[in-house]
Amino acid sequence: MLKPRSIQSSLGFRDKIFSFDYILVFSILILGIISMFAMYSTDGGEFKYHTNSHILRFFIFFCLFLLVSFIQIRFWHNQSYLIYFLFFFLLLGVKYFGLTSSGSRRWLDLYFMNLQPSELMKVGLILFLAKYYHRVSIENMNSIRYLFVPIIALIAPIILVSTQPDLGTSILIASGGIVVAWLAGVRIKFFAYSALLFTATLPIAISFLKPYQKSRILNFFKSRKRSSRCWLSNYPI
Amino acid sequence: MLSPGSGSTVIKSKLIGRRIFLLTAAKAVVMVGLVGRLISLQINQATKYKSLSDKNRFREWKLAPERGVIRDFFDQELASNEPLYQVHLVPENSNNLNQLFVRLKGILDISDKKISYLKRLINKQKPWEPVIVSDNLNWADFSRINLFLHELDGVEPIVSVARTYPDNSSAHILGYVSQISAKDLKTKKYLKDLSVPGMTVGKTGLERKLDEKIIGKVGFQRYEVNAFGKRIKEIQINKGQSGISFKTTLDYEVQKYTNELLKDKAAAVCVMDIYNGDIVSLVSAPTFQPNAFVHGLDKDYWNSLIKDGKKPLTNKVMSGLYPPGSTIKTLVALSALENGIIKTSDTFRCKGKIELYGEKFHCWEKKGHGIVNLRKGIQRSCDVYFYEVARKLGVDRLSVTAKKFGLGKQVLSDFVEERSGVVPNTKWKKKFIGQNWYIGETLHSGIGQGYFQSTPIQLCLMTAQIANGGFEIKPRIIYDKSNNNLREYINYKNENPNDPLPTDLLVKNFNLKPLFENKNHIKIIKDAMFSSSNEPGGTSYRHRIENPKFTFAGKTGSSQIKRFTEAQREAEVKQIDLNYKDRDHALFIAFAPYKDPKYAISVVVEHGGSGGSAAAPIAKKIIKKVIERHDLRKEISYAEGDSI
Repeated sequence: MLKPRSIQSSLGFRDKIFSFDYILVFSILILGIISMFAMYSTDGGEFKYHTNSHILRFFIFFCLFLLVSFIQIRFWHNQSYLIYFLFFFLLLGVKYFGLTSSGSRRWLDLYFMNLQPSELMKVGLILFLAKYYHRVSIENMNSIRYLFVPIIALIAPIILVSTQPDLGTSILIASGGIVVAWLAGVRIKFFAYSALLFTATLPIAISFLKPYQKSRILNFFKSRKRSSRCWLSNYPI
Repeated sequence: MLSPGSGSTVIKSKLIGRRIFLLTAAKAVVMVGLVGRLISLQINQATKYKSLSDKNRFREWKLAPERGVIRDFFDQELASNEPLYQVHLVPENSNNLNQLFVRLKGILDISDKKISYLKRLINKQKPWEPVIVSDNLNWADFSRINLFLHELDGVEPIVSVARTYPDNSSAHILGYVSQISAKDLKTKKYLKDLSVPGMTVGKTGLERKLDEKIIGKVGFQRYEVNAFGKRIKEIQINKGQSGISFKTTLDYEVQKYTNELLKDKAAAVCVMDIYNGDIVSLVSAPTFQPNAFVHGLDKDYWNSLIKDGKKPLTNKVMSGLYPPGSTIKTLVALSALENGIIKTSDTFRCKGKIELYGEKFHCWEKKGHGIVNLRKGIQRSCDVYFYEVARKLGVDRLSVTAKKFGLGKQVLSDFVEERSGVVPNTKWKKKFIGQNWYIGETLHSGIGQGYFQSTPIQLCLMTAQIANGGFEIKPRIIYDKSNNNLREYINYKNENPNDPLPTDLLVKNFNLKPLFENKNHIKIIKDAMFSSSNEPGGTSYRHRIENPKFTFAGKTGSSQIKRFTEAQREAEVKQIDLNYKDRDHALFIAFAPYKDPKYAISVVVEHGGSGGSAAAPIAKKIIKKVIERHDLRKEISYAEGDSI
């Protein structure tokens, strides 16, 4: 699973099939099937809108996932900056042309589907940082000079996403970026410093949160002694 | 740029490899944590969360069972059920109670008083316990509520059943039902699992006596509900069990007839079959509306009931205590005969009064009855004759006979309101009053005054046991097919008319308990009662029926409320001239037909004056009605496989 693969290696079609991460493929497949049952159950035990649309989408995107995995890794390496900026502009587009639903603006209307660029940004940021750190030599890895770009690349999309508002996705984007930086060899102390800084600004950050977001966070920390009648409403469905 | 120094690359991939390993380990830890939590939730605490989610998913509504029906001997319904439209409110299902009440007020006609009462009730109860907003709606209001139901969160329209009585004629013996009170819940164990809104329990009479069996078993409806508590699907329904229905020995036609006769009077009537003790009619007047109690009593009506001097809520037949007056003379004479104190030929001279131990004892006939024997004594109801007999007999021997014939103890079982009355004797006075017995009190007891207290049903039982030849019967109001031994005996006698069975053989063969020593003594008393009703000079001669089919033999009585002063006696004041409250109670006991007795009756008219003028005419009409319906009754008995 953890075979380090050089960026230069270019596998043939056959090798690709054999080197597939089958555990991942099956995990996703099982997850998709389980969620199909969940949908079937919420539809009241019938094949209705939610179940059908889930099956359709899962099928399409599972095929897409297989297709994408056949693209040579070199392609992703070459295009990663471009991809990042493309997604970033999409996020910007959301800010001005996005669809608003349930009080948040997260989607771009592509007429045949609604695209949520923040989801793409999760991958985009990882690609960007991976390429960036690949180019930085191990000696320069922890010099302050090389920290600026990753931090800006990390914070810019997070600000865009969290003002949509979509706290959950922005946290995921952040953690994806932070893990890549850490894997690349950035020293632990930088993370500790920024965690400290983050905690210090927390009181101010919280004041920017919406009331329902606050109560969501509070509820997460509170013990589960809620009245049994309304506990469902504390979770976004 | 793509290929920095190879040494650096190796270090870099080593570093990345190490960190990926750490990351994977961290992921594994998180994964283990997640799986562990899942196991804990889904397996270890499965029952807890299953029941929690079922509680969320399912909601139960309890259903009040239908009360059993009470029928008369001819299967007429005396107490039945009717559909009832109610509006209940479950406070926890409503977001804004105040707003809801305003809305409800617009739809139904609810007073502010009722609303504040409901609010107080809601504060006292648990939020999921329903309150009844309106317990008896007409169809128009009920359908209007259903129309607006979508905007009335927490309101539930309910179709239920309620007790209903066809009329008021049997109100006292049937009793009434009403909402369960806190006291009921405490004192009646069978109500423990029966607390359903709108449930009623029997408070008096048969409804109370039969409550445990007639009330039925509570049912429930289980629904699957959504997150807002709205019913989605019915999962299970248990309609409960309606209560057991009962057939009584009452005759609804006679009840109605009697009730009509007693209109505007304070009176009590009891009619009994003399062989099996079936109570054919039991009416107390004035009556009340039992239907008014079912849906919460109107305050004005309640006040009018409790302020009425004629006491409409009291069942006078079972809880009214009256001195038996001259009706006791039948037992005084019987007791004296049985104890060998007198013979039928013994006579006394009645001069209108006698003086004993320095006290004057008056006869009701101021002029006196002249020479009086036992038959004439009962016929004319001569007080002086019975003063003399009582003096010789003594109160203790009288009380033994009186108790044997059913005075001084409850006649029916399990009626909370039935009273046992008083049969006085020397021991009783010592115990309850703490004084010695005076001989003068014996004389008063001899004419049924003084300490004597009896209920009309006791007097009826006494008469029935004289009429059937002196055998003990057990009165009943709930019909059952069990054969009565006295009936067997009669059948035997009819089949073997020439087979004179001695009494002890009767007792052995038919399990009969004779209340006499000598059969002839009973016959003498019956004959004397016949003369009282059917021979000139008898106290109820005016109201006789000559048709032998209906001819009855009876005894009048009047129980004194207030002693006459000498001045009143001299002025010959008539009862009718007295204040209503001061007039005597009028009593009459009888059995009929004389030749082949079948029924006994007792009539008490409060403040009616004399038994001959106030009670006997009522008895006469009822006797006629009852005997006219005897053949119908016999048919039913045959059909039920009972021998008569």
